[in-house]
Amino acid sequence: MSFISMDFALFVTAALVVYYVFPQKHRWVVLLAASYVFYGFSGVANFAYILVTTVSTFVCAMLIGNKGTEQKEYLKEHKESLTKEEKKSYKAGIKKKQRLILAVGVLINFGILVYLKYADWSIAYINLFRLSRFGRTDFIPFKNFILPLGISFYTFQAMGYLVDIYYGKYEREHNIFKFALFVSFFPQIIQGPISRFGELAPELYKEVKFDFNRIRSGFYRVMWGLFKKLVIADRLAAYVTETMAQKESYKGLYILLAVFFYSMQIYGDFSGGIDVAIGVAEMFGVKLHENFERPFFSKSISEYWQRWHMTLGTWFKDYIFYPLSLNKGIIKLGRLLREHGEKRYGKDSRGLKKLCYGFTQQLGKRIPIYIPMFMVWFTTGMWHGSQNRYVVWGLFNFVFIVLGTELEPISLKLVERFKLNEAGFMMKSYRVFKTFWLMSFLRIFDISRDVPSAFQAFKYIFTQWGSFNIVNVYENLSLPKEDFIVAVIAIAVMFIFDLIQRKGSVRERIFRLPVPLQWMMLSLLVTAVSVFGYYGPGYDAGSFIYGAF
Amino acid sequence: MKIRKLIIILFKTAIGILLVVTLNRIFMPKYINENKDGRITQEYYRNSGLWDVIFAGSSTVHSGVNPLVLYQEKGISSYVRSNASQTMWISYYMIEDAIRCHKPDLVCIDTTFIKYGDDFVEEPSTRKSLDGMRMSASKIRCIEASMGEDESIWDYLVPLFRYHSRWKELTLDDFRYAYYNKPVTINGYLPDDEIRAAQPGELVYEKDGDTELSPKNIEYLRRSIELCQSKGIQVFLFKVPSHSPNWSLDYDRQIDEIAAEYGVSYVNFDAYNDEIGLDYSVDTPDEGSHLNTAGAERFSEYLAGYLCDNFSLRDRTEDKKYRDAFETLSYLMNR
Repeated sequence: MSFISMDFALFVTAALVVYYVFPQKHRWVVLLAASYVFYGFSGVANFAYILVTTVSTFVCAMLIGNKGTEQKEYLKEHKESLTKEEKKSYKAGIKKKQRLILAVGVLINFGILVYLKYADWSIAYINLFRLSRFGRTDFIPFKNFILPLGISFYTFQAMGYLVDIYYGKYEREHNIFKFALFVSFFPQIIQGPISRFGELAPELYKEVKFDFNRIRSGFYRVMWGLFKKLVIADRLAAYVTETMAQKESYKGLYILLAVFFYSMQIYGDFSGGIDVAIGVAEMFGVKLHENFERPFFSKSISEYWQRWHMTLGTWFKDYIFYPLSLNKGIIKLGRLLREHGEKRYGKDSRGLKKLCYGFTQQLGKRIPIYIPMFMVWFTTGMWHGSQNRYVVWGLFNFVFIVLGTELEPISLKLVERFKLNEAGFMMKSYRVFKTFWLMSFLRIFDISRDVPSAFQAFKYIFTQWGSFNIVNVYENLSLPKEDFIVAVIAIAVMFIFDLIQRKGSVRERIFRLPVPLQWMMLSLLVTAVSVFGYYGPGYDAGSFIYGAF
Repeated sequence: MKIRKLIIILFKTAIGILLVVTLNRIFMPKYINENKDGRITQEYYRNSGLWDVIFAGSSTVHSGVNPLVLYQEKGISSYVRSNASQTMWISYYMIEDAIRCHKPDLVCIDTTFIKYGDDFVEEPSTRKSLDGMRMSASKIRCIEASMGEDESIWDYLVPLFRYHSRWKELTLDDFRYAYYNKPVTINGYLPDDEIRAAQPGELVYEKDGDTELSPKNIEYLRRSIELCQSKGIQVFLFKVPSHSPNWSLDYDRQIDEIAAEYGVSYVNFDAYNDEIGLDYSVDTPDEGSHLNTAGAERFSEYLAGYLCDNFSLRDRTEDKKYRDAFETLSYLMNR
């Protein structure tokens, strides 16, 4: 069931009615039922996957928790009789068992995800290898799996929970049905945000009172999300697809415009979908984590990634980056490199040797950061899709972040040398502009067929600028003049609201306006979405891009 | 306090509904200057309780049957509920909708469109039939029976979902006629003064391929008859005359069989061209597929006599209510 359908609107309305009619204490049960009904619409067969994830994660968390309790009780019981070493050894034994259980849980769940998502990708490479190496043409057939709805999102969420339980961050959930709700909460299952148990669970299980203002507020958020999705993202999609498909004929500014529009499209699409999820959850009194914080106003790539798909970013940071950067092997590798540099070149060396010494020392220091960061970006790329272009996209992000960090001192020196005001409007604008275009150019990998095609598109941007004719955009590239104007106005509106949002919630500002003005704003929003939205017969309204990840 | 809150919520909801209704009305095609058959369904409700005879069928009916002539000739009060490419199932629901609140004396079902298969889906035609139909269970069932696989019932129930893309082509008429409807049809009849002669010579049916009536067509024809008979309404099956070879005597035979089964009569008026006095060199606007104003007048005169002779109908000539209504139609016709 798509977020952009009357079925979904009716489903949410019906669920809301039942939810608020139900006794407050048991309203979470309605949410669970609604989530499972919603999931059922995606295909009954998909239930198997989400059930496996729910049950396996619950059982593993339970076993890990039980081991912890067992340890506590044992140590309490033998408080006097055990020596310090015996206690340490006992704890290590328990930790080992817990780690084993964690590994089983992670393997089962990521195993399913990886198998479903990357089976065909792997088969393609195996076939290619067999063909090139042994000349075998008896190709292994592709599996052509259809990914169960939201599998990436709920798997990440469930695994985050399991790791947190392992580290003792939270008390485990004892009720499997409550846990099932945490895994399957329907507004966020399609494309996130990826929530943490500690944040989401209390929201889901708390007793919620009916509050019309909250429903109204949620409705505003949903409409705003639909505005971004239907008026902006889907309107631009055809131009982007058409231009990239005909990039040999339409080069230069046409592709640059497609790159710009794709940035707007993916932002409108993804953040719009998140707005719908957060708005619907809000109607049920559940506060979800924000996933975007005006990313196009970021002044560096690192900052951009702290403001774009924030919940995935923090997930990778907490469950890949930190564990890896604290990994003994990686720390040791850094230390060995530093020691090797010191031995080989000496601390007091001069000339080239001094340079080599400095390099090894710096590299040694950075290895515990850059290796985990590399893994994060490699995984991020893989997470986006089982195609090489996503991996390359992820690695380019890594390279740019590394370059940004390493070149920062030079940049600061230049700023100092030319007496530029780092905190001034011009410098800020320059950094925002640079970051926006850098990130937009990287997205060429997203909209290209493969890696060579992406490089080709990049090359084409810098050719034939003089041949640009806006009429071609209107007539040959699926963005008629009227739609072009609407898109530009809608993008401007989106940015204006983003700017206003810097000073606090836009909705709260609207609710402080006189009632007729509030109605006017809502009417304008509803009219804009229902009239200018790309939906219904005659339009090919795309599904949410991130829904496919 | 709670009541006040409730009133405010209801008021806000009403404002929301008004907004959606207004947007719907603005964006729906008005069918004023073109595709006028799209107005037939909607205009029916102006005096829906008046009509003794309801005609249902495809475009041949609204171009060939003139209710004004029927009234002037024999005092028959009638309304044509037809549309271009109106299928048998849409005709059935048009009848169901018509007799929901009012019982006519006679329902005349044109069979011209029965020749198309069960899979016939033509969204623009379905839209023209259904856009003007008032919300009812009949409408919902009609949508379900008529829409294509990739269509959604919501696009029919909330026309804005279908027509919002018209924002680029809105004209002043879309706003002017959002809440005001000027009459466009003569009780469902759409006069056409064009003349484009048919090929000379006798009409020979040349329908290619399978001439078995499809199950869905048969089902809805039967259901139409059964529905009328269950309400004590007389039924007449007929085919408006045309000079189109796209027909088969097999169709006539099968319809005859069904008609006989229910004890109703069926007449293919193609066989009465000479008696009616139709001349397809001047009485058609499109080489024989439909009748023009002159042809419709000739056929309607004949039909008025036929209906009076074969069915029990009331003469409304002296009834002021009807006289006024048809005088208005006469004015519209001559305007």
